Amino acid sequence: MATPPDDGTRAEAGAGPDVTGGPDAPTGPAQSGRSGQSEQSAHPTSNTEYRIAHLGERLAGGDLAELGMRIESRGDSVHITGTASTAHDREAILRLAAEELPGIAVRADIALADVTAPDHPEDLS
Amino acid sequence: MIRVAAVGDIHLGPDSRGLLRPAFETLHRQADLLLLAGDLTRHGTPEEARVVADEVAGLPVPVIAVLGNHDHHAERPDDVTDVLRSAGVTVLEGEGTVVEVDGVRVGVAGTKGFGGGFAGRSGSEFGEPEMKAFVRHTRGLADGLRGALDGLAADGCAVRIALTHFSPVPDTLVGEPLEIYPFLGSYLLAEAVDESGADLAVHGHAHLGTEHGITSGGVRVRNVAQPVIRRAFAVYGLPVDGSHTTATSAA
Ligand SMILES: [Fe+2]
Ligand SMILES: [Fe+2]
Repeated sequence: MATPPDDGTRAEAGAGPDVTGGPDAPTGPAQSGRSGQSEQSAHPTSNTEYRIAHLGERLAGGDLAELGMRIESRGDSVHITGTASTAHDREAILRLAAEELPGIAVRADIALADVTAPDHPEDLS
Repeated sequence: MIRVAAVGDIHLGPDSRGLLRPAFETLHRQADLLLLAGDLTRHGTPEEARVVADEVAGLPVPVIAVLGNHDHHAERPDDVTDVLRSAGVTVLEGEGTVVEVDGVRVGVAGTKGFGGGFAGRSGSEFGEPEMKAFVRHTRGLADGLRGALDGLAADGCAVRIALTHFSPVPDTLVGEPLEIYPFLGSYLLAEAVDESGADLAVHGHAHLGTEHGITSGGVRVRNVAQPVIRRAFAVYGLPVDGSHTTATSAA
């Protein structure tokens, strides 16, 4: 858990390397309070940017050990892209996203890994 | 022509048992050896390593691997290595191995590698102990790669391949956010490859990156992270320099 970000993709919104301190850092209120976005200041995790970072932490830290998803804020929604090993993993990722981002539309574009053999080599001569 | 199959970041766990085996069983028809570029497991447990071992056990081509950061997560890399070795996998860290393909000596030098960033945009061995340790770790592994490649040259290898998990170049990271490049690789790995020389550098780790790149010294680099190559493995055909092809060296 304390290792640096890996395959990177949760570093969107510039939050990756800074979120390793723990998902419950008291970040939300200070930020949203100062910025005067009163509608978002009610909950400690109301700030979408931090929620995205927390989702990244949960994906990495749980059973999935998933560090390969790109999670980005796009307008009012959150967009998740990447490749999952199995359909089961993809469902688990979407379930965690729904838990971590309640009330936010999540648009996912998660491909399944293609495990077929290649049909031709690349000639490097 | 030496045909090198390679894949990294297969991230296998108990749920993915058997996923790659069907493709691996056809591999010998199009490749002479299989390289595994790290992140073979999810958390680096021996149980997950067993899944990997079963996936490649008994293949009719040599299987050569390096570990990735995921394979270190449980802090049992030696156990993971032992499980893989028990299935006949050659696991490299700062070492080389030679396989003979039709009388041609093919050398593979391997290290996990580590981050730090790329020339002009990299961390330095300066300041806090943690920062020094970070860069020192990369430097030590890059030195191991250099030594291993040098050893393969001295050993008369006609073809040499550098196998890492972290990337030696930024080219193959294109698609990843720029901000995290320093966590994805280090120029120290490329410097080692260029100084010692190699015919190909293969790595993984950057799932959103790009397959093709090249070091500033002109060594071709391939990111074989499974989400990048979108196949069970990629195959690269490497020409053999005639002057090195000595069938007699088999004796
Ligand atoms: Fe990976
Ligand atoms: Fe990795």
